[in-house]
Amino acid sequence: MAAASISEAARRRRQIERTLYLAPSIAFLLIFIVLPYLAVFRMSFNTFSPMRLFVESFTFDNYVGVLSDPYYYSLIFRTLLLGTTVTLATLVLGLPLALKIAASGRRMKSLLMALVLSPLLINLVVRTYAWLVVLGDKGLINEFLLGTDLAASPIRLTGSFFSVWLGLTHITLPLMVLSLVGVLEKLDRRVFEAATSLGAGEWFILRRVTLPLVMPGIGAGALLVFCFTVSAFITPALLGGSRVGTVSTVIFEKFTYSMNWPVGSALVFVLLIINMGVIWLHGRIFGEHA
Amino acid sequence: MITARGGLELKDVHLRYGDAHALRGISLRVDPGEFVALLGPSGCGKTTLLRSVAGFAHPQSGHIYIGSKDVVSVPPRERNIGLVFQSYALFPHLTALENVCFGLETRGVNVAAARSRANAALELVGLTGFHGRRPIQLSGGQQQRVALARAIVIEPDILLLDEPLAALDRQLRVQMQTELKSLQRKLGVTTVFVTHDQEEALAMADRIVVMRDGRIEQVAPPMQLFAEPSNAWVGEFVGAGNILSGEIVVDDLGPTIMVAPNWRIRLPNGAKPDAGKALFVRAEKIGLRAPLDGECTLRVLAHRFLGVHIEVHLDFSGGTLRALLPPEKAALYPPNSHVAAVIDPGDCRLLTR
Repeated sequence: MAAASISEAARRRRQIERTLYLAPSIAFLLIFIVLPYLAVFRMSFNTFSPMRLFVESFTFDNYVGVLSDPYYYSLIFRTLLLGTTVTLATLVLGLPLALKIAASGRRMKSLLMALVLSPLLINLVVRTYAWLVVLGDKGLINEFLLGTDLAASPIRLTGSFFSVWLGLTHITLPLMVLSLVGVLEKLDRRVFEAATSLGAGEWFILRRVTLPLVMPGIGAGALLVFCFTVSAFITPALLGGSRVGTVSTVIFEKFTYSMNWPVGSALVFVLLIINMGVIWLHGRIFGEHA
Repeated sequence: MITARGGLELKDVHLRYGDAHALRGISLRVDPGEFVALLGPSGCGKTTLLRSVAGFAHPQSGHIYIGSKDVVSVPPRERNIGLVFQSYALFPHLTALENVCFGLETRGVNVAAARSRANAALELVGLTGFHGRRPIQLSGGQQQRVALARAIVIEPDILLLDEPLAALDRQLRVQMQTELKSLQRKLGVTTVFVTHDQEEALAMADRIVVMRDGRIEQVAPPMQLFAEPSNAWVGEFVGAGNILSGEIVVDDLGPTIMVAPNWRIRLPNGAKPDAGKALFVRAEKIGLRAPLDGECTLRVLAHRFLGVHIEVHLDFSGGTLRALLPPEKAALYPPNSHVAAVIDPGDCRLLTR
């Protein structure tokens, strides 16, 4: 009886200790993630007032406004299109690279990995400005075209969907490659030898063995790249300018220039729901295999 | 069923990885339908040899014939080889049946025919009713059977097995040895089996190839290998053999080997007394008794209980010995007691060191 209650007390104490270990991270998440989100969530139900910034209220007008305005439709559509095309591009570019890395010897592997990771060592803003240097009216490409008389006047390359897509593909490619390499590295090489000994050629192995086995990596990479892309701000802001807005750049515009915090807040939740929807979709497709 | 289509022959195969010689001139003939085991310690080159035949290791020189065709420059996927790995290497995303069908698919066999052949192969390895399961839903033994079915369904010219039973527990391993052997007999497929487990090699193979350091030390049927090792190393490696060395001294009755100052063992009849040779005697041939005055005594170091026998470890001024005794005999000589060893020259062989 006494022994039982002692062990009960010991167990409870251990449980409290365990919770205490988690306390700092829980507190951090609560203060810096949950509370700001709650504040923004509350804001999304207020009413915008040009004179007083906003008026405390409880209305769905901001959501209704966002979801019934063709301007926001095209904004959301463009953001989703950007996320999808960037994800596909990183997959098409990243898969051959990841296969090469996984099949390389130790030295070649570290060299290629360093190359893939090197962009991550440079600040995002600097990397984006580098694209302006390449694509700008007086950038490398236009200088070349003008210098060789291939074009009479500079071709406008920045401020377009293409330039945003290009910049984001470049920035997110390492995320895709890392996800794919992580899965490929863990595969048993003997499985590929078994396939070869059974008479399978390279394409047959790619289609029937490699791709099915690397699916979890494709899923994880696609999730990372898509969520990164649709919430990216600096790259679309610098390379897209005001003409190629995404949900993120418009949120920034609402909070800073037009000072319409309630609509900006509603957009924050539209973006959050898009990302959560993609995570849900990922779980539905890849949950079983993972 | 499969009929033996041809044997395997290797001629002076050399393979180096940088400075490391993995194979140093391997020549070997495997007859059609024969079951050969490659036996040796890890790093002896047995797996490299197997991978060279499969086409995944690339010898710098030499010839490998499957049937009458030199396959050295033939890519692995065109060699028509059935390969079974220790890790099974099943396709984890495919069912047992799909795994077995894989090699038929690559050969362009139509789906219906492939399925019926795959089902027949699964039945042959004693695995019916599991064709819809994925590898993860199968036990180690079942996975092994799928791997085997996958390798034989393509009717390979040569079946190569790389320690296929090493990951199984002992009871299942012994059962699989018997099944694998009878399956190989039934199919008549030329088979090369890599193992470091001599018991497995002795139990299954028609002939055993003992390898060390990239070379073949001896090729012999199991019984002959056990009884007549070609040199001292093979004698020690295969089964519990003792090697005794010492100066050869000829007395009135003939040549003896002086294994300790006060212990001479008469050489077996007809043995040529050469320097650089050592006496080989199997552990179960050594008898123990109480020592007489002035006789060389051995100290019992330890007993190792092996089930039917006890292995008694002994040491003396000339080295160490292992004797295999029935438990009731071994009990007479507990650790730290002193004994004398009885060795009949008829049980000894003189071997090159």
